[in-house]
Parts: sequence; C-alpha cells; structure tokens
Amino acid sequence: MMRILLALATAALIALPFFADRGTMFLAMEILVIIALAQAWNLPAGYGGLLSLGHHGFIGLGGYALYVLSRDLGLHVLVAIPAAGIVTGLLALAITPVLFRLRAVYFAVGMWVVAEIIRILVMRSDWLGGASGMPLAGARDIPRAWMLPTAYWLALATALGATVLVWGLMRSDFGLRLKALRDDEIAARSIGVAPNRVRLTVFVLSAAMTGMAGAVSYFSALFITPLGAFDIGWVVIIVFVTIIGGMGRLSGPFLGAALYFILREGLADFGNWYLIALGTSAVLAMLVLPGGLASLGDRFNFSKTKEQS
Amino acid sequence: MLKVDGLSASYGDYTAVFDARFEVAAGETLALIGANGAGKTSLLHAICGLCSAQGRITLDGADMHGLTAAKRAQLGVALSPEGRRMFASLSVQENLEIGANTGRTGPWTLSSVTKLFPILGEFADRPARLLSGGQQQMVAIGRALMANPKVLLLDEVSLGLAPVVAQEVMQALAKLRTESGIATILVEQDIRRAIAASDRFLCLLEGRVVLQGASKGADLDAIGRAYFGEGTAA
Amino acid sequence: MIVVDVILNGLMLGGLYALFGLGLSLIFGVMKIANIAHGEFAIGGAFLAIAAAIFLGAPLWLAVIGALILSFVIGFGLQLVLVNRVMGDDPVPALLMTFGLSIIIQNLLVELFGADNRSLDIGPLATAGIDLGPVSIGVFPLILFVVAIALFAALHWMLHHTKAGRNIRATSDDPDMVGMMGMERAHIFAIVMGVSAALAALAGIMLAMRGSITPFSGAERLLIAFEVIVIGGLGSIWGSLLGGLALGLVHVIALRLDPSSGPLYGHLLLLAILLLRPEGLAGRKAQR
Repeated sequence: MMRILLALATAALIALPFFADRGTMFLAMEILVIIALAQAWNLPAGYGGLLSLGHHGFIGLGGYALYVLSRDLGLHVLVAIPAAGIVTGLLALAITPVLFRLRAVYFAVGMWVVAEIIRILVMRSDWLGGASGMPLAGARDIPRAWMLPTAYWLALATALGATVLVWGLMRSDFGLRLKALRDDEIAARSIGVAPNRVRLTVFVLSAAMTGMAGAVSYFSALFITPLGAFDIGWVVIIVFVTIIGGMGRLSGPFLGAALYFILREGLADFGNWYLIALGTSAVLAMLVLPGGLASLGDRFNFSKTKEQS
Repeated sequence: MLKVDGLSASYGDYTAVFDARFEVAAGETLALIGANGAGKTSLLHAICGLCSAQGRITLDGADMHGLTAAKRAQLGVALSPEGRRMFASLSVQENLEIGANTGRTGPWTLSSVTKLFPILGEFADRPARLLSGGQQQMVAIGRALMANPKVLLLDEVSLGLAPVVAQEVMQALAKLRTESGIATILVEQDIRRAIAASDRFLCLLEGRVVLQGASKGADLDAIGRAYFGEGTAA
Repeated sequence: MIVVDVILNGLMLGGLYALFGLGLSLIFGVMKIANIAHGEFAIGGAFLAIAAAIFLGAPLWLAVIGALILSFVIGFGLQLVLVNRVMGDDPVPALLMTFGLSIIIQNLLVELFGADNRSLDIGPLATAGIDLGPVSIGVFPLILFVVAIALFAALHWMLHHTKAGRNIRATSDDPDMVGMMGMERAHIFAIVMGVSAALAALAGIMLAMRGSITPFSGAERLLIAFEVIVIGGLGSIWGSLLGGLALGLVHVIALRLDPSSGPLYGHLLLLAILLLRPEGLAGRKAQR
C-alpha cells in the first residue's frame, strides 16, 4: 500500500510540468531544492553530529562549478550539473585536513569562515566574473520551452536522489557506524569504527549533494552572483527546516520544508516576518519538540514502549 | 533529622536505587556500604537533588521533594563529593569560602576549619588543583563544613589516598563525630573502616538495601556476604 | 612612518575587535557553548542606543547607558527562559537555539529600523585628531582603545577579586558542583549571558559611533568575535585581547596592501592559527 502511494506520488510529481503553470513550477522547484539541501545537511548534522554553518559555501561552489564547466569546457549542462556535485565534493575533501581538526561548535563556525573565504575569493576573481557574477553559457543547451521543465525534473531527481541515498546509507552497515559515532564516540571506536573516515565520507557526500542542488538552483536562474550564491540565508533556511522537521530523520526535511513554504507564502505580504516566524518555530521546536515534526508520529505510537536498560 | 522513605534514584532510564528507607539522627553517623555500582553515590545524589528521585526525603520534617540542589544546600545538606571535585582555578581559601555561600551560620568558619585541617591554612593561597589528593580531600570536607550543614554527606573520602593519609582524614572525621551535632552519611568501600567510623550501617546491593544494623558489635562476616550478595535474599 | 601609522591604527581597531571577542570569550569560558547571536546582541544594543538617541531624543550618554542596561536584561532573560533549557553535555542544541535567536533579532531589527545604514553621532569628536609629529591618531579611536583595555582589566579584576567573580570561575570549573554551594547554576549562567550581552552591546555602540551599521552587520561581528577568541586562545580573557590586537593589525595591514580584500586575511589568519597553533596565541594545550 505504502509503495503504491509512493509510486503514485512520484508519478504525479514527474508529470507536474504538463499541467502546472510557471509560478507553481518555480515554487515546486524551489521546494525540491530546499528538500535536497536539507537532506544533504541532515546527513552529517542529524545522523552524524557534524554540524556545519557553512554549507552555503558548497551551494555557491556547485553553482559556480556548473557555470565554469559549461563555459570553459563546453560541457552540456545535463553533464555539468552532476559534475558540479563531484567537483564540490572534491573541494570539500581538500579542506578537510584543516576543518577536521575542529569539533562541534568550532567546526560549525569554522565552516562558516571557510564559506566566507570562498565567497571573497570568488568576488575577487575576474575569471569568475567578480562581484557582478556571470551568465550561464550553457543556457542554449536546452530548448527554451524545455528549460523550466528540465530544471524542475533535475530538482526532483536531486531531492529524491538525496532522500534515497540517505535512506540507503542509514539502512546500511555504514549508517550504523555513523549513528554509533554520534551517540558515543569512545564506544564506537572500541567496536572498530574509524571516526574520521566515517565523518569524512558523510561530509564529502553531503557537500557533493549540496553542490549539485546548488547547481540545479542556479541552472534555472541562468545567472549567478557571489552575494546570492554564498548567502548565509541559505544555511538559515536549511537549518531551520531541518530542526523544525526533525534532525536525523528522513521525513524531517519534507515536513520542515512544508512549514517553511507555508509560512513564507502565507506571510508574503509582511516583509521579513516569515523569517521571524520560522526562527520562532525552530526555537519552540527545540524546547517542546526536540525531535521535530517528524517525532509527532512517535508520540502516538504506543507499540514501541521504551525499555528500561 | 534526615528521613528517607521509599526513595528511588535514577539517571534517565537507568534506576540506580530502589525503595530505600532509613533515618539519620543529629550527631549520628550512618555508613553506606556496598560494592562499586551498588548505588551508594546515587543515593547521596538523590538526597542532594543532583539526580532525579522518587519518594520522600525530609529534613527536620520539611519535605525536600522537587527542590534544586541549591535550595537543599541552603536548608543544610552538604556534600563532599566522590573524586573531591575541587574548583580547579580557585585557591584553597576560595574553595573553602565558596562553601559558606549557602548563607548558613554556625560554628564552622575559615578559622575553625583550618584548625581542624591546619595544612589548609598554610596553603590558603595555593590553587587547589596543585594540592595532593589527601589535601584536596580535606578541602572538600572543609568546604562542606563551611556551609554549617545539618546533614553532611561524605562520598568515598579515603578512596585513592595512601593509608597514612586516609588515616589522618578519618581521625579528623572522628573528632567531628564527637564534637558536632551533624547527621553524617559516610560512603565507604572498606567495610572495617566504615564500621569503625559509624554508629549504624546500611548495606546496599544492586540498588537495594539488603542489610542494616548498629555498627557496634556488627557481624563483619555477615556484612561481607551482603556486600557480595552471597546468601541473602535480594 | 607609514609603518608606525599602520601599527597604531591596527592596534586601535584591534581594541574594538577584542571587545567583540570579550563577551563571547566569557560565554565560552563559563558555559562552554557558542552564542551565535553574539553579533546580533552587539548590533541590537547599538540600535537600542540609536533608538533612544534619535527617536526619543535622549542625550548620548543616557542612550548608551540605557542600551547597556536593556541589553543586560535581554541577555539575562533569554538565557533564563530559553537557552538554559537546552544546556547539557552536548553544545549543539544551545548553538542551534542561539542561531535561531540571531535570525529572529536580525529580522526584528530590519522590521523596526529598515535596512539602511545608521550611526550614532558623536559630534566633532569623530574627526578630532592628535598630531604626533609625522603621524596623527584619531582621538575617538584612542578613547575606544583605552575603554577596551579598561574593560578587560575591570573584568579581570571582577573575576579574581569579587565574590561574584569567584562564583563565576567556580561555575566554569565545575558547573555540576556549584548547586551544592547553594548557588543556582541557571542564575549564574543568566548573569554571565547578561554581562556578555552588555559587553557586546558596548562594542556594537562603539562600532556605530565609529562608522555605521545595518541590521545585517551582526554576522560579520560574530565571525570577528569568534576569530578573536580562537586566535587568542579559548577561555583566556587576556588571550582575547591579544587575539583582537592581532586581528586588528592584520586587517589594517591587509587593507593597506590589498585594499579590496575585506576580512579575507583575518579569515586566513584563523585557518593558519588552527593549523599551526590550535591552542591559540595565549592558550594552553587543550582539546577542542
């Protein structure tokens, strides 16, 4: 039953471009990008305890990677978008020797500083168009009429791909090791978990997913600027969406994204109040619902009573 | 003075003490005996408000249920914790003075504590972390006394000390016992030492009281068996 | 002589940076958590003073004092009502909580004051200078520097020579044990957060006197404060002063040699310190 429903929902989502208008398409695409980003952020943060406040750096890197691969190597955008994810993952790998010396709070803020460094370097680079940014050279790879549907399908593929990847990882042996590490590092070491290798893997995977989602987002925008691509506002949304939805839960990003877009669209006429409402929701969630909206289901599930150890 | 009735202590999902009941009168010393993990420290923490507890704890008839550790300290509960827990960046004198923060007054002041432990007067300005284990233990006991408590909880005061030093600390406690009207609970792994320093004893096994009685003339073999859980009904 | 000029200016800017770091250092030292809203506390405090001075017409000194008191109250209240509830062995919930608070404060400021540049007018003091032969230094930056040093000294004195300071140090050493000394840890945390917020607000006010701010200026100040305490060495108050001066020097030198670099070299200094001397300039070896 569950599978049939999921298959039907997926089919409906794939078919959306054939009956939805442009505004709906843009909104749907945006929602999917946020879900993909939140899944990617949730992987190291929610399941691994490796919390980053610098993922906007990876969004910008992914976006710029797409634009450079398309312009300088002439790659077709459909190739360049996944490639942008890979490039972002590799760049993330390159900074881990410094970043992985940091733990917890220092890692979180250290990531933010790294994202700032990348932003400033991009703004100073003529090759990347400096502060004024650059247009997407590969815009002509796709016929104009198909641009928006293509962007939408890419966003859908990224969001579902990220979800399936996290789901698969968490059911695997690797997922167990990751959770063991988050819950008790010393105990995890004692059963042979190599902490840095596990953390490195989820971090690089997360960066690659984030980079690809960034590339998808800036593919549809056709223009990229450093101020937009490296905006801390991305992280604000990702973090709030994940906290409200439920950290370390697969359905968290979906539920959190739903609330985010309801608040944003509902309060569209009231300036920045939706951000205040979102922040307040996140703070309230931490106080009264630490498992996020996704944990609401558990509260009514009496079959799984807690065992005393 | 202190009355404990149906007390259970727990940390999260883990229950460390079940249904303990006992009383300690003013001037009396109760020894808590038991192996590692028997629940001795948890029982003290439950009395202090440092872990969650169910059941009644009354001090001079006043119910302490739901009070914070700070409130209980102000009512007259003082603890010399396991591991001594010096405030590492404070000097010896500051460590003692902070004990008086409860605002309770009585015979215990800086000068009476340093009379009991003269070495602390000598080292007043040293950082407490630079002291030896025995000296730190004296600071911990002195810090608890500075609160002029009604109930003094002493957790493993001889643990990790050289026999000579442990002896010195126990002698100071003996002096306390005869001179003050404080109700004392002493947690101690060494059965012989615990019995010698107490009026009554209480033996814990896996969180439950399995044996109790007067210390004078107590059957050490029976306590030993209770300690290891041999031949007693749990 | 340009070298002397750069060094003097760097040190004076560093004094302001150190002040941004001071409050955060206090929080780190006592509560072992990061306050992501530290930058918003600073900017919010400055906006309180601006509101009092411009909209209510209060004299500058009164506006500043009022803003500092209100900042203390806000920091105290937020810690008592919200942050204390998520404090524990894991620092992450507190980090996320303060992250939420930072976004709420920032956007409230936008709604209340708009996104324009604002500043606190200090009159002719802003442009007054002292000629020292070949170099000249501004009077206001000098005052700022002296105030920063004085606050470091005052905080040091308070921590080491008052009862409240002793209790705060004890809480930093062993927060689980202070309850047994008859003190409510939650109250001490709230007082420390209040003091930290007031220190941040003072730094923000001085920033608004020196130049201008917008509601979005908080993030950059948070990063500066964070860099100051990591470069200086965590948990050490004097380390923060050293870190602030080092960061100020780097920023001023970089601005002279590479005018479009912004905070780039400060960020790079942080990474260099993390690689070469993770315990910071003044810090002892410590796990982080």
